[in-house]
Amino acid sequence: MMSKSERKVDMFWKFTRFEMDLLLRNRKSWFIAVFLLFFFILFFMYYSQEEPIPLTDQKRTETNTSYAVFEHLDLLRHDIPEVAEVYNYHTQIQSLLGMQLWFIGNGNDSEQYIENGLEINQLRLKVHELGNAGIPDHLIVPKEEILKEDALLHYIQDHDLPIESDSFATNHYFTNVLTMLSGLLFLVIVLISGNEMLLYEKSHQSVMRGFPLSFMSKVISKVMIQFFHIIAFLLVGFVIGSIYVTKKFNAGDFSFPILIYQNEDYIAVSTGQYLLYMFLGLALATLLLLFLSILLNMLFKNAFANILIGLGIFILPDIAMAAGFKATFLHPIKFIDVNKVLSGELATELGNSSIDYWNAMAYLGIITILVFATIYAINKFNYHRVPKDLPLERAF
Amino acid sequence: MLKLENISVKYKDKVVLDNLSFEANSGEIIGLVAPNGTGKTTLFNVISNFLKPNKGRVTFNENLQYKTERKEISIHKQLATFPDQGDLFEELTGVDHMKLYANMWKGSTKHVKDIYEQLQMESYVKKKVKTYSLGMRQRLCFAMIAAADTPIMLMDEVMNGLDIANVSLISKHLMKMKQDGKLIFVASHLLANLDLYADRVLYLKAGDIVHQQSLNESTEEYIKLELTLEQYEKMKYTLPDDHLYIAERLCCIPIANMDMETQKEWVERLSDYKEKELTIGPLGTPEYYEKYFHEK
Repeated sequence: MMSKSERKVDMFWKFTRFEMDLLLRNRKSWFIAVFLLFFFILFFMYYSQEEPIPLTDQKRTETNTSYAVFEHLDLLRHDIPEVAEVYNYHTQIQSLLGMQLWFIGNGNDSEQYIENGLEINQLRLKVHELGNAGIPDHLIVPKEEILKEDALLHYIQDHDLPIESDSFATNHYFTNVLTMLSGLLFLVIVLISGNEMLLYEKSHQSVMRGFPLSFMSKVISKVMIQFFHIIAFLLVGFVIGSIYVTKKFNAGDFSFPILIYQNEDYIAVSTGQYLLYMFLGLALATLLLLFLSILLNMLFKNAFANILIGLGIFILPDIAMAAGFKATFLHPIKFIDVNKVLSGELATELGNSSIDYWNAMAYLGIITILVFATIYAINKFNYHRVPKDLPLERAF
Repeated sequence: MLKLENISVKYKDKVVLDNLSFEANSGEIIGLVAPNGTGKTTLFNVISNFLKPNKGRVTFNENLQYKTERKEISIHKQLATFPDQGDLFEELTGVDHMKLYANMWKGSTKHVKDIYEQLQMESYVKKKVKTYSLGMRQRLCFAMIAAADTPIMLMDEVMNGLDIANVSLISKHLMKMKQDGKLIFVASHLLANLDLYADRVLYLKAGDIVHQQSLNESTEEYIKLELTLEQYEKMKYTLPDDHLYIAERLCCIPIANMDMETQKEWVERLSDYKEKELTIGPLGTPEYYEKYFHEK
């Protein structure tokens, strides 16, 4: 004989099993599953046709750009003392770039290449301190780029990795595919997936209502099922895609660095750590969006409204910015674009340097709790409402 | 077991239930009779708290009321409502539906097979609902509520779309459920069928119960004869004062206070209307229905 609480838990799981059964028979869920399964592999197949530019070519382009800077500095250095100082630094940079080209070529000394690279970064930062005097805007190396390069070189140096490997290429594809998925596309997928979580019950009202199960238990069960559905197919799709890309390049070392933005600085983390951050972030964003879908279902009782309003909320900070309002309080909405948070792009875009991964995750967690609390409060309020002029019909 | 007190449901210009009260006990089947759109479903929705009335109280087992969600769950553990066949899941099988109800209320599905066998559903119950006819769907809805096996059951339009054989099958099952001590409310338009298993029939009109017919208690008997209005007008003044003329069709003369001789006299007198069938017996649900809802 089961106790009261055991009975409650048993019923919860039985309801969850039924919900899962419905999900498995729902064509929409299968479309989403197929999309997630094939998205990564198709992306990798298409984009792996274009191979990343080799390091030597990158350095040659950098050296040529540096020559162009010289010409501008040379014209001004006799008249303006700051330009003369910049010119001096630039001479050293130019020489170090040449050395780097030698070390990745015939010199074959990656340690020296890194040392030179780190030195170049220091010099470029000094040039920034001097206000890049005499350098035309389009030739200035942005400070973010310098910091990123510095973090990358330090990581390679600390972990004793080769400076050129096909694993850099796989990293490149990983970040690109996640850049494409994260944000708007992922938001649309989750909103479509969750747009009828409560609403479908309205078309089966006489079957579904009246179960001796609390509303919140039903909500948790529904969110749990959708969450696992999305995350499971997302991970399986990514694994299939990764197997393809690592086999193709014969490079699947997950210790190679990827840059992330943290504490107003760029740090390099291993590919494995990056993917862990990324998928944890996507999982939290999924959870938030699913609870938001439940809330929108409750408020608007319309599946299309769920998608449109969800998208509307997401672009709200952009609209505010376009209208000239900084509206910092709206920034957390954008945190669901985990890739932009990790890369530091969001911090630059919104002009808010405090936006980094852990900060964003904390905000997403708090918002999820707030949305959950709102659902709970609305349910309680509906329950305790006293009819006045009209009788009250329960929607869910 | 169930007590409704002063239930009122009013929309802007329409009163659906007006200060309605009644009590019901376990082991009873209560028929609910009224034309379409007169509040039967609303009454069921109030009993199950899908609709909060403007006024009134619903009490279960003397003290359990819909005051908190927790109490609602306690009540819903004892109460199941009959699903509409249009709300079934087309992609699921009949067994899936039955198991859902069995799991939600009984916590077990062991009895599901017995139910679909008793209801002779073996040939189709494992197929998807989208392949079912109306009658099959209706039987499934009944099987679902039977699988829930709750002490209180609310069955709206339970016999809809069923052929005679299935009406009989479900009627038998209802009688069995009554023997098991369940309180069952049945809203049905098959009036004569209600007489088979209902203990009481409630006639709902203008938002209230206008008549409560107890079918088990000894009821007054009548001599019943169909008469046209013209025929009735001719003999109206010779009929006893307490006679009934229902729906301008049926003349009913009470025989409770008549001796055998007087009864014979009336039978002989009325047998002049040879083309009409003369019967003796209590008023049944169809006759009361006509009395209350077809009176001009």
